[in-house]
Amino acid sequence: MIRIRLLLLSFLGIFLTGCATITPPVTTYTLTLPSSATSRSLTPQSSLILKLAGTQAAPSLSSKALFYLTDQQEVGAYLYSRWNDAPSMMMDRVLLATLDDKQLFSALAPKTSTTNSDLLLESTLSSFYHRIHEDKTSDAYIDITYILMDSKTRKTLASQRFIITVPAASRDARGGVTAFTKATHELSNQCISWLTLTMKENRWIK
Amino acid sequence: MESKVDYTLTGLFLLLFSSGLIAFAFWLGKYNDNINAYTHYKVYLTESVAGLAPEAAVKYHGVDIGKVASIQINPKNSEEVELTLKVKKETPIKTDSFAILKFYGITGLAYLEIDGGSKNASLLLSTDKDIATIPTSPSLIKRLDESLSSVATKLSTTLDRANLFLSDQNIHNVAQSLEKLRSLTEQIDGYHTHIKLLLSQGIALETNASHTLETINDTALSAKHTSIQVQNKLNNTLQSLESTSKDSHALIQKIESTLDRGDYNLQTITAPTLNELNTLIEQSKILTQEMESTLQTLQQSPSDILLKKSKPKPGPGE
Repeated sequence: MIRIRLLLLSFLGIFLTGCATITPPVTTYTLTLPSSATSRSLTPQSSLILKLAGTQAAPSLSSKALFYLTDQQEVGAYLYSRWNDAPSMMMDRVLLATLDDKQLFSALAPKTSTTNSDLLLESTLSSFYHRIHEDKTSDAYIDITYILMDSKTRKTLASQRFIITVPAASRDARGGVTAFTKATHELSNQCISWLTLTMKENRWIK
Repeated sequence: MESKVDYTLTGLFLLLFSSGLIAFAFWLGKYNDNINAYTHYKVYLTESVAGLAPEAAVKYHGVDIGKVASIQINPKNSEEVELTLKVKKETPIKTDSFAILKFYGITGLAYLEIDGGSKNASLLLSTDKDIATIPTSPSLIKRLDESLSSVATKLSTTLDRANLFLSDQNIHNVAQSLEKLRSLTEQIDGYHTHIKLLLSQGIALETNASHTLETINDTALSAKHTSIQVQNKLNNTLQSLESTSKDSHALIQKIESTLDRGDYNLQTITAPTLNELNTLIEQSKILTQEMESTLQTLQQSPSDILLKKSKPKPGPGE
């Protein structure tokens, strides 16, 4: 009986040894939505309904880890910094908010909506890295492709690839997150400009 | 010796005879004709005018009304003979009158007969400057000639065809046919007995057929009876079907209204579940990535699960 107690105490000691290791707390970040425009139009510019089909991302980009990429193509995750959600989901939210602010369409449907839409916007995320350069600088790097298609015929109407690079103020995770926020807003604006041009070409808006 | 001739009487006779001779000469020269008492007409004939001479008579319904003044070939058409008639002015030549060449019996002498001329027709006016033309009709001889020519042509054609029909080959074929007919008749005579037998059998067959027809009639009556029964049953069935159809129609309407309402819209029903499922799948993907990372760390350093010996590589600025 005594032997059994001694054995249990030994195992407990080993476990407690593992728990004795102290690590810094993990900081969780998110991408904030752009501030709404003050002169927001109340009437939509077209009578079309746009549905966001969601952003497809590579499996490595589907996690909540905050990745960095060095000039030697070394990819790593920050140990004590993480995203609140997968980057693709946060980017969809930012784009949806920006589109809603611009009032290009009569209605915007997220991918979970069951409504019938006129247009469908698909996107594929290829890169979402905090690039660390040897010259002591860093930047947020996003590579994404958008495809606009007809919901009923599934015919592709237009497609565009966007590569956004925004310099970071510091070479740590915090600086990277700030740069990613700016880059995401810039990406949303460029995407809306492209959508506006496409709609004008198709005479959906004046 | 003194002559007893009375010279006075002789001279008187000579004077009278000379006067008479001169008057006869004037009469013969037609100096008594009054030119103004005639109207001239033209007649153009396409047949021979042999027997017709100048001064030949022109008759209207058999009455002498004038003479043929001249005969010549039409200078403008060599196929026609141009006659100029001299007709008494009072003669009513009408626009529908026509001239026919006729002959006196068998003498061969000809005259011109004006025929036709209905009462209501207008007069054919003719002046010396513009001489009217009387239409012509073929003479009897010409008509006979044409008819005979036509008959001769047809007769010739008929004879040719008869000649073809009665060719040696056809006569031979007819002879062969008659021979075969004779042979056939002989054979039919041979079959006389058989025909009699056939007729008797035919009578028996007719009797059987009558019997069979009676049977068929009975069967038809039976079939008719059965048909009536089947028809009644079919009517009942159709009524049942109609009733069922009405019920089905009502049911289908209910189903349609339910479908239109979207009660059975699979997309609508499953959409919330699918959305949640999609969210769950995305969360699973994130979890899978996290688990993969953790498992990779444990694979590299299994003792980390108890002792946490390895130190992961920190990111820039960490």
